[in-house]
Amino acid sequence: MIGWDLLFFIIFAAVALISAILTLEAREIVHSVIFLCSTFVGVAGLFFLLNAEFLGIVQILIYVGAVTVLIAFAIILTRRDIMQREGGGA
Amino acid sequence: MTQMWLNMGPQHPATHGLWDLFVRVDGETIKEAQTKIGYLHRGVEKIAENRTVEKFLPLNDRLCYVANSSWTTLFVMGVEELLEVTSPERAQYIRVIVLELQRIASHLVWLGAYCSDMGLLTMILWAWRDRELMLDLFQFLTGARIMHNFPRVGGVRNDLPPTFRERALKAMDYMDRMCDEYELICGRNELFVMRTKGIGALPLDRAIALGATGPMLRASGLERDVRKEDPYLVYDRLDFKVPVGRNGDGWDRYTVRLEETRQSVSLVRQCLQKMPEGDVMIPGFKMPKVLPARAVYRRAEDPRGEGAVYIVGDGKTNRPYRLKIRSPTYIHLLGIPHYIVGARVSDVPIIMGGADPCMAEVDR
Amino acid sequence: MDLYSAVSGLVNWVVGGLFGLVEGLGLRGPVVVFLRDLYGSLEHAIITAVVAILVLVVGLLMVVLMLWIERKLIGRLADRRATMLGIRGIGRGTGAIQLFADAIKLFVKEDLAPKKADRHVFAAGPSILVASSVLVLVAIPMSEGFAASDLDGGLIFAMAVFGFAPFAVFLSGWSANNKYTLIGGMRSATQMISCEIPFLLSLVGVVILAGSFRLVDIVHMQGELWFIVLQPIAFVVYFIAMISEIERIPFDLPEAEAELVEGWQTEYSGLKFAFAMMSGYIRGYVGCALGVLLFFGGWSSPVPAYSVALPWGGEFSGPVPELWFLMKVLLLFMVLVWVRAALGRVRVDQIVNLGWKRLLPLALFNIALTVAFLIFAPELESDTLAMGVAFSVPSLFLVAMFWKWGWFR
Repeated sequence: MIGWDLLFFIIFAAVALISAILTLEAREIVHSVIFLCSTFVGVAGLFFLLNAEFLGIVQILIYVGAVTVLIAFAIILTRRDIMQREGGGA
Repeated sequence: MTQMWLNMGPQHPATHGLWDLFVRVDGETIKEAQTKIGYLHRGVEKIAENRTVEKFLPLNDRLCYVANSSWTTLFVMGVEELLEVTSPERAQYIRVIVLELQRIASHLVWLGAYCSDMGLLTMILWAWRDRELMLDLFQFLTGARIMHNFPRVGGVRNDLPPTFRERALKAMDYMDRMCDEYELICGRNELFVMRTKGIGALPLDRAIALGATGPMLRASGLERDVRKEDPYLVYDRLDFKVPVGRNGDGWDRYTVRLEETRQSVSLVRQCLQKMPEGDVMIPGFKMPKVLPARAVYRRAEDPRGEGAVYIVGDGKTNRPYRLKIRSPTYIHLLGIPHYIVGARVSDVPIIMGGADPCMAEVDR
Repeated sequence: MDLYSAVSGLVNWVVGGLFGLVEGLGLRGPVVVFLRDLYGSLEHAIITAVVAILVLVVGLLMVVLMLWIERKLIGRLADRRATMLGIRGIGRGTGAIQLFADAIKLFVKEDLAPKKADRHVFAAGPSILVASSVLVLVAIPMSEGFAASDLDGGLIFAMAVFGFAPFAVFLSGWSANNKYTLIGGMRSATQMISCEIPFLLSLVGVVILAGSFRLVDIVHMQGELWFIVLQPIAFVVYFIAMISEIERIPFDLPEAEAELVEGWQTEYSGLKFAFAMMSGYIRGYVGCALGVLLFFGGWSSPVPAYSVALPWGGEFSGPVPELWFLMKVLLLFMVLVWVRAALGRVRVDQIVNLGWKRLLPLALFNIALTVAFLIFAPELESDTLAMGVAFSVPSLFLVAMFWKWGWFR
């Protein structure tokens, strides 16, 4: 019988790995940011699973909360056009 | 940063009417602006050429839905000048009362909209609540709240109702108190100051170059008021100050308009005191069948600036050969794309609102 | 008694009663045995779920209450007759039915999405927003017993999840493929960058004084003196940054309705809009609750201990601590409503200035002040009153001087 720990480990590890791959594969840069964020969430889940609560919290605080927004901000600042398709306009 | 063209209108909560403004933004900063006028065009000036003066009178009310009577009065004054008749003194006092009440109501609408543009939603409700008092007075005097159709060539339609004086004085006392309260919620409000000081600043030379008049020009620092320099009706017999700003920014536009409201309150009081007894229409006056073949240009101080009518009679019919209406906000709005550049997207409604646009009058 | 043992007692009593009833009816067999085993293995999960639902329901009820209070209060402040009087008919005068009418309207509305929107991200935005907002409720204890979790780093967990929303806002703003929503999302990111750091730093002084990240410990430390007295600067910074975090006026730039139509929410309708709005109020509740826990003594009673003998025996020594907590939260929320009625909206560059040039130095200064006091005047710790005076007078004087110099402008 699979223990709860193993089950959740598989879930979180899969989330982290698949999202990491998708981060590289995504065509839209914003999609990459989303998958990167979900990778971080998966890793934070792993930390929680290892009873490293503080590390997990800090992972969420810094990576999920701050770094992804910072990356999003960097996209805004550097890209001339981040609309997916030109939605009209003069 | 991300560059794009952004539509601020015509269907946009920022516009106080149906005005098209396209701005090219770089992130939040405006790099370029274009405006398009005519969304609400109705051809009022052309309609006037096909109607007799009496039939055209009610349409004047539709020129501006915020300051209706000021346009009707202006047109009537132009026609009277064309016909070389003078309305009785009491009628002129009543006209001034209506004009000044209209100015108060118009400035209240402006103040509410201006504050709601910066998210201060309490103010819009307060201002519109107090505007109701003016509308009540209009209803009492003219029978209508918005479209009064009150002035007539040769006077006004009816005399003051019996208790109008008391009611108006009471309302004016209330308005005096409320002006102080507006000062508290707007002028002493740190955020209001932050959002308006230095926004859309129009130095005096540029204001003159762009043809600004009225509160817009006075905010830039020039004391110029048609009521003072070219007195019409009985304004030369009344005592009032012309408030002047310094920098022509959003803050000065606010202070000038609030002070004008106070002056209008005092003007209404003075009129009610000084008003003589007598007729309100020239006795036995009938509209002539033929307008004289002359042209007059009559200007007046609209709540928004210097409004004027240019009427040409053809000497054959009682329809104007040509009517030209000078709308102050039309000129103000055309100037906005010049000085909006460099502002932020958040400043657009404030700069736009500072000009107090009334699109019905702009697009005519 | 904490929430888990209470709930597990209740659930076990109900389930045990059910099984007893089944067996009393003479039904025995493999199915009943299997069910019993199943319950035995799932007991923990079921109890956790019940606790979670309980916390969520309390949070949502608070949202409804806050919405109602906001409407009533802002109606009075702005002189809106309709909200003052309420709808005539059912619920006459209270206007309470209006909330449910609004909810039903939003639930049955058609769920529209723009043609060129990125549909998955478009749907994910409000979902992430609500999920992250609700997740914070886990970390917030309403009293020593009524808490879903008792993490050692409860405060920092709440902060971590609380700061997650701007990303969801940015996603939904970007995905709708609309220029107004895009600018709204960009503004949300800008706002987070400028106010998140002072928000976190403002808590450091409190944490230093309490010596713990556990919210229960922090509340216990305020038994004699609330931290609002000891940390006035921290509270000012926290309050301003919190308003910015929960995106209310004067910092509701991402949904500035004057220039951006409805900001990042422009394209949302129906349930998604309801989610967006609900998450805003949940975040408002969480922000106020954290403020109460950190600065206003949490669930401790503001009145001195007393007890009144009741006529039917027993004695009454004040309402339950949860009630005090909720009352304080609502009072703090009323201040937010008042701020909303009195102030306008700041500009983007102004909020960046405010965050980086005003709040951040203030928060750092507060930390330095706290540490300095703890180092140089440790003997004050025994005398709470002296400590309060020593902390608050210079801080308040300083804030007043900053205000006078127009430094906050």
